[in-house]
Amino acid sequence: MTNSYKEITEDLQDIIEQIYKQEEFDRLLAYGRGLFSGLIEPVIVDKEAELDLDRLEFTDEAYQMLSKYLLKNRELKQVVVAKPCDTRAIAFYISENIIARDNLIVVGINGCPGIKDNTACDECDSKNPVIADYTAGNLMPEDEFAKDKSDLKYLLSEENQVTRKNHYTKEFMRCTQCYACRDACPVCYCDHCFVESNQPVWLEAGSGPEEDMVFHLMRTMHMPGRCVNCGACEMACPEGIEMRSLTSHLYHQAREYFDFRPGLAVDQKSLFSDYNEEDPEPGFLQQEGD
Amino acid sequence: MRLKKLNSEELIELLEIFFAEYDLIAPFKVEQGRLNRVLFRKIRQNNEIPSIYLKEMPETTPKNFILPRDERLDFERFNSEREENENSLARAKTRLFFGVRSCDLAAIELFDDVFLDEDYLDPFYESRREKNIFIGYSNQILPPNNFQKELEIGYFDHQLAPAFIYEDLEARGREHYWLKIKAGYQFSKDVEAHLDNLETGEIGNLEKLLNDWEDKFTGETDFEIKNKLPFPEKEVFNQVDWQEPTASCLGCGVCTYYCPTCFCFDFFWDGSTKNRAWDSCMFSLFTEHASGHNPREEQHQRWRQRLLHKFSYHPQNYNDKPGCVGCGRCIYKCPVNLDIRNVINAVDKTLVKGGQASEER
Ligand code: SF4
Ligand code: SF4
Ligand code: SF4
Ligand code: SF4
Ligand code: SF4
Repeated sequence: MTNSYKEITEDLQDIIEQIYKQEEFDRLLAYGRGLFSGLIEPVIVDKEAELDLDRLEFTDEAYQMLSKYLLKNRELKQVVVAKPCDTRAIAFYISENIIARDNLIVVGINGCPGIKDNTACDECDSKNPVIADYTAGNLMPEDEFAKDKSDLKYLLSEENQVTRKNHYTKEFMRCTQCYACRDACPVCYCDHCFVESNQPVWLEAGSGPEEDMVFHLMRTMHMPGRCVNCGACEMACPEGIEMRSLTSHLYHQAREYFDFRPGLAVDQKSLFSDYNEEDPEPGFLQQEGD
Repeated sequence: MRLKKLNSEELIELLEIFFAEYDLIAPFKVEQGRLNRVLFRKIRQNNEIPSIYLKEMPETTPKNFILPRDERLDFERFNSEREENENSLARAKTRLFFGVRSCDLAAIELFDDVFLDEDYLDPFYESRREKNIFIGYSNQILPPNNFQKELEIGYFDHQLAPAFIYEDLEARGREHYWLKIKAGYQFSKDVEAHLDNLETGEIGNLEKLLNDWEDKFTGETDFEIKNKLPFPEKEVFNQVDWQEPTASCLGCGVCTYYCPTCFCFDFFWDGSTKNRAWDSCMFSLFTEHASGHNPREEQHQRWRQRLLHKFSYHPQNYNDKPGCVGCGRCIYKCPVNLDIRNVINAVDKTLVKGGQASEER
């Protein structure tokens, strides 16, 4: 069974109080309720700053990926409240050598009860933290959330190319090119994204169908072996664009073909560096009926 | 001023008359992905009118029509043949925006201040801004995170709108719309011909209703700005800790794209045509120099620009009027729920501490 938001919140408050007493650290990343908005927002504070512990909370609206914020100050010692998907992003960072395990105090959430309106939670195959120094809530038995990989054929994968292209062209028409999907994604962490590159220019200013397609397809191509299927991209999109059907499709494909899921362990090899003779070769541009 | 109470059918009939005469633009509720959104859209057929959705504040505003996301800049139109073209423009129908909130009307007034300034007239803006009529709307629900009152923008009227409609959501099933038609506008004369028996006797009742709504709104917000606008530029720039209140910002610019008062744009060429598209001070490229140097290297510096533009630079240049109308969109559209009121609060507190606080407003 998953834990209740209330139990997790109480545990989190106790754990963080304890951490303040007994741990050395520079910065805390947690969730709390906005002073005026009443909405759940990231609470990012230095250890010395005043903090009202009662303000910290975990609810079904804690959709922001706090793991993403770790990257900004990798040199600091940071305490982070992490949903299971966040812990997978963190394990992935460590496996990619972009953040040091010693700089992190991970407060993981056991038996995550999920996030409202986040469809990725329905597909979630890791409802307990992958790494944690402290945990809130009770562990959830694995057989309650383990997914059979064959169940997870993604939306549209059965449709033909023309239908798919029409669907995405139409869906991406709403894209404002704010790149919030990329900004919110915990594993989109390049210091210099192709989006901002002006030598060469990959994307022109303004938004048109070509730019939309180039942006989404290029980002999608950067995602297999990295996407931890957390759903943050869709949750962030102000236009309600369902771009996860691209990235998550590749997540499930990597699992199906290579039994690979990123961020399961801190010493995991990456999808592309771990070649095995037996690996199937489904082909990059697989045609229908292949 | 004249007043009429209407029920839904009567309102629809009136809108049908408008539709025949104007390009009618109104808010509709649409489902997009996981979002249920309310967006302004041009009406194409009569039968769409009953689906107009007014109850919740729309996510978009007339900004999307007056200063669109992408715009081709047709300089030809403004050269020697201008006169002839003006005639063809004159033939186009007037746009009627129906159901615009008072804060969004204030935002259009702000755009006018900036773009119709005699010294820096923007002809593209001017041509889109010609021939627009706005009909205002409010009901007894305070839009989420709205703080327009704190910026001295009234909920229930605005001078840009010749008519305002009030919906009493609790009076459903009966006559629950109040249509107020103001004197002194051409539109008012046109519309009166369509309304039989315009009543004038119930103004007191409407005023009482609006006072009740306003009292209710006042009870709902506890946000206040203690310092006078404009905020003192230098002190605020240097003394406020910009990092702490903006630490969660992702730099996506959503707050500025959905803001009815943000107007920054970028030029770009598409073959031989010049275009402009929205830009945002929240983007890293906004200030990047050709050399690669960026005077606003960090996100908190970009936030400082956004806040100072709205609460220091804009009021400095435009008679103390803030560059924000308090609509609240940037708060609920922000993918991490970063609240501009927290940042204003940080500024306020710093100024109070530094002894800069002017007497209470
Ligand atoms: S968040 Fe949505 S609107 Fe913004 S770039 Fe991504 S898909 Fe486009
Ligand atoms: S692509 Fe989307 S689902 Fe995948 S890790 Fe990034 S935010 Fe999460
Ligand atoms: S919408 Fe929020 S996260 Fe995005 S730039 Fe604005 S404040 Fe930052
Ligand atoms: S800054 Fe925010 S509250 Fe102010 S006008 Fe813009 S969107 Fe509305
Ligand atoms: S500078 Fe920033 S805040 Fe000001 S109008 Fe431009 S985008 Fe909006």
